[in-house]
Amino acid sequence: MAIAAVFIAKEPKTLLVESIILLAALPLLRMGKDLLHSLRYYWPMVGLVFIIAFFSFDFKVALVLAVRLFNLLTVSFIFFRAVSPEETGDALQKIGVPYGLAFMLTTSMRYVPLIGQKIRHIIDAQSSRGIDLRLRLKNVGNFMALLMPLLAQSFVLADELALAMESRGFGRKGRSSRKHYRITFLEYALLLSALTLLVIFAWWERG
Amino acid sequence: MIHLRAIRYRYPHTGWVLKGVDFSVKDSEYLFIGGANGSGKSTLAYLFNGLIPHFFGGTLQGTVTIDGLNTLEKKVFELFSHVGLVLQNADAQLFNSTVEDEIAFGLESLGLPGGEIDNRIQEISRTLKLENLLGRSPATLSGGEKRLVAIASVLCLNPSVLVLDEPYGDLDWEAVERVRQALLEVNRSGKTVIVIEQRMDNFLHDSTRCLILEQGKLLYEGAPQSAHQVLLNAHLLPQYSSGRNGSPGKEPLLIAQDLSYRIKEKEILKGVSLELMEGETLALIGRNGSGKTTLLKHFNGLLQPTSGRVTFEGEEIQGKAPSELAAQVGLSFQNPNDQFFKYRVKDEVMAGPRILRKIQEDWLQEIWQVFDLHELLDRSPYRLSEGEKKRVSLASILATRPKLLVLDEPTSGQDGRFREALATLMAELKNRGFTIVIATHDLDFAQATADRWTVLHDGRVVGDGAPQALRSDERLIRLGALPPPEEDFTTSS
Amino acid sequence: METKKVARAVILVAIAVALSPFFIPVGISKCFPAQHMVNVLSAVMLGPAYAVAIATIAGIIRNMMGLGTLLAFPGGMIGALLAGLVYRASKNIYLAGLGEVIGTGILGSLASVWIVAPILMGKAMALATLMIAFSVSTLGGTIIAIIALHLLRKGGIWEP
Ligand SMILES: Nc1ncnc2c1ncn2[C@@H]1O[C@H](COP(=O)(O)OP(=O)(O)OP(=O)(O)O)[C@@H](O)[C@H]1O
Ligand SMILES: Nc1ncnc2c1ncn2[C@@H]1O[C@H](COP(=O)(O)OP(=O)(O)OP(=O)(O)O)[C@@H](O)[C@H]1O
Ligand SMILES: [Mg+2]
Ligand SMILES: [Mg+2]
Repeated sequence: MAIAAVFIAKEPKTLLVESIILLAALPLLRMGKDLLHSLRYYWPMVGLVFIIAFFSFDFKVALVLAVRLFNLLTVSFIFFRAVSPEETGDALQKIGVPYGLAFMLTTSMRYVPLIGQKIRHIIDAQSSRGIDLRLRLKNVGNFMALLMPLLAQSFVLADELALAMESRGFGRKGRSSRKHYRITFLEYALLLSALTLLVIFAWWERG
Repeated sequence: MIHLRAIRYRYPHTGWVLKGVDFSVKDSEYLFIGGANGSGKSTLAYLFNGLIPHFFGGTLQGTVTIDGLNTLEKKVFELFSHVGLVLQNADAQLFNSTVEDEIAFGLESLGLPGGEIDNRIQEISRTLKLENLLGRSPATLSGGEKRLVAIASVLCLNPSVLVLDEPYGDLDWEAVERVRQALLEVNRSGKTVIVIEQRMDNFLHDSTRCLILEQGKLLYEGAPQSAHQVLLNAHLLPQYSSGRNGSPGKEPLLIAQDLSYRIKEKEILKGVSLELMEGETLALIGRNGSGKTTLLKHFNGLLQPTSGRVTFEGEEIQGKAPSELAAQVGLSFQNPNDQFFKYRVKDEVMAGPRILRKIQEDWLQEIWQVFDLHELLDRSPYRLSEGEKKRVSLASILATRPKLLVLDEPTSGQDGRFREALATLMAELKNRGFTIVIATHDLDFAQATADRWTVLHDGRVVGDGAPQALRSDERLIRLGALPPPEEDFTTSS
Repeated sequence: METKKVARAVILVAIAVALSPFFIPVGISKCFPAQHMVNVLSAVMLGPAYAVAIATIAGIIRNMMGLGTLLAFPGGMIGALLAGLVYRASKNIYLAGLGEVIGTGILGSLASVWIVAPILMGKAMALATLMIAFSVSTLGGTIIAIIALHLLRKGGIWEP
């Protein structure tokens, strides 16, 4: 899968608007809704690039650039959605990334919800004594009231986590691994179609 | 066999935390270790599996031997198949993405082959009845289930000694019972079990021997039965004074009418109605997950009910931001660390009033006095003991001088001495005319401090009235909302 | 010792991800400070190698959860590396912050521009505008991190 992404990343060399159709068709299969959700992280960049390009060149260049950026982001989105953290961790280990890194990836996924919960607790606790932490400009000065309790508790949590890891043998040489992820049929199919598309686009570009 | 010989220990930047501790633990013993906050209980736990000194550093004098191995000479991972440690904080203990991976982690560390690991997982989940949890993420488990999984993740390594640091913390009586049975089972299978707790409850009597720690020294060593008097004398079992006075006013301060609250498809509150009189102290009682915290959050607008309404002094609070209501309703949560963001206690307490522009010098003076904070004002709140932290966080809520004080699990993680002091403090606040609501499953504390109980069960109010009467109410006990009466060798007067 | 660092790194990644939806409205644009703040914190507390690892992993997870875009990578990693190297050499948190701002705001955004729109590379004006836009979050995050480091030190939670 990782290889496919590298290939795909080259793909937007083609200045083809058609690619958007292909790419839009894919998310409709399963991930349309999620994509809409994370669109709010896309549009500032896409919009910005469009505006700047519009002023420095012309409308056509701007449009092409914006569409290309959008495609790039969408492809990466689909890629990241398709893999699970365990798979990624496992794949990373296979290609020789140290166990520590793969461990960091899977374990931090586990702690994201917990930290999110801590953040909510802190906001509740602070607003209960008059410190407003809603996302408003006038509350910027109160941001530390969220950050400091969060960091202080996180360091304690990190130390306790280190204890737990240590007392269950983290860092001991000669670990075994119980699971082996196999590449499924679907993933082969995805990989194949990505490669095909790539070849087509590359050929188109030349012609 | 574990032998501790003349142990003195200090962390890198502290004074002596253990000051000459000497004892042995025999095979297949069930040892209970109790003591106040900061008496050195967790420190002792870290000694058992070599985390002290290998992980913490510091200065260790004396020797610790486990099954004949000197912990100084062995690495932590050479010891972890002899001594399994279940930590106080379950969220730190469970760091994998599924229960199955959690149990497998230690086995993988040992380098066992895959098939063997699968067998052990099967075996352990059968013994602890965790089969249907294997695929779940630890984050979704209840408190009691988390404990059991933590125990499984350590027990599968087949250690001869199992050490548990506060396994019953924050669990309700039902969950306590489940964990307790599991531990008795483990002990019956021939393993040594060491339970470290500051809550002194019935489970003290599961042990065959009991140690009580006081400021880094052994205060008591012997049979659990005779520990009772020692604990009472040391106020580690709280002795609440029963003389409560003052009659609640006639005016209702806060009224909740038919509150329902739903998250996604899940109904958490199902038509809760409640009337709170001015000057009264009310306790919300209920099992883990019965909806206590959720209900409290409706009192100051942190949550908006799906249906129903809340009025405070006759005014509906719907639509008001919690930070605006803070001058009327002060809500203090379980974890004081959620609040601290200044590096001096004084600034910390004054943060709320400063933002609300409601600083009254004379009121602050009273707060310093009531909460006994004069000594602490210039200290860093992060560096206080747990009891002091709790006091500072309560003070910072009261600093805005709200009429209603709401406390969520105020005794969680606190020792008997603090609970006693807090009960006195609450009586003092009541005398000053504050209306107080506490949510807790510490029934003795609730009985000592509250005039009235409201019992929540599964999102509904199932009982309301005088504590004495509710506690012996057959219907509530059968429903599982309140525990069956305890055997008489425990609890305070 | 290693275990402690890995554990801290895990929690810092989780913080970067969990805080990533938080923004400070600045005029018409928004400042997303989380990643940059964590860059500086991790560079100062754990060193350059961990800082880069944290930025990369946080980038991967944010992409997986739909909380960020591909541009998180060049942006975050270069800043983290530079901040870490600068801090190691100077032991000065302000210089580390400067490292992050230069790394992400200039080098990182150059890399982003190179990915996004190579033809803009020639246009000085356009390039500058894009780089400034990329830098709003960096600057915000760095300032927050430096204040936080001060408070952590005074509160006795962290010592250099
Ligand atoms: N990692 C540490 N570094 C420095 N001091 C510590 C550390 N852990 C504990 N201490 C100090 O050692 C003393 C004993 O702490 P310990 O955690 O063993 O107490 P405890 O009996 O487990 O208390 P509690 O009931 O609150 O868990 C306390 O004064 C505490 O502040
Ligand atoms: N944000 C949330 N999302 C999903 N479920 C929630 C949320 N908050 C609470 N719940 C669920 O609502 C129920 C009641 O939770 P609540 O925290 O009010 O219980 P509680 O009585 O305070 O329990 P405890 O004694 O453990 O503090 C629980 O089953 C909990 O899992
Ligand atoms: Mg402890
Ligand atoms: Mg609760």
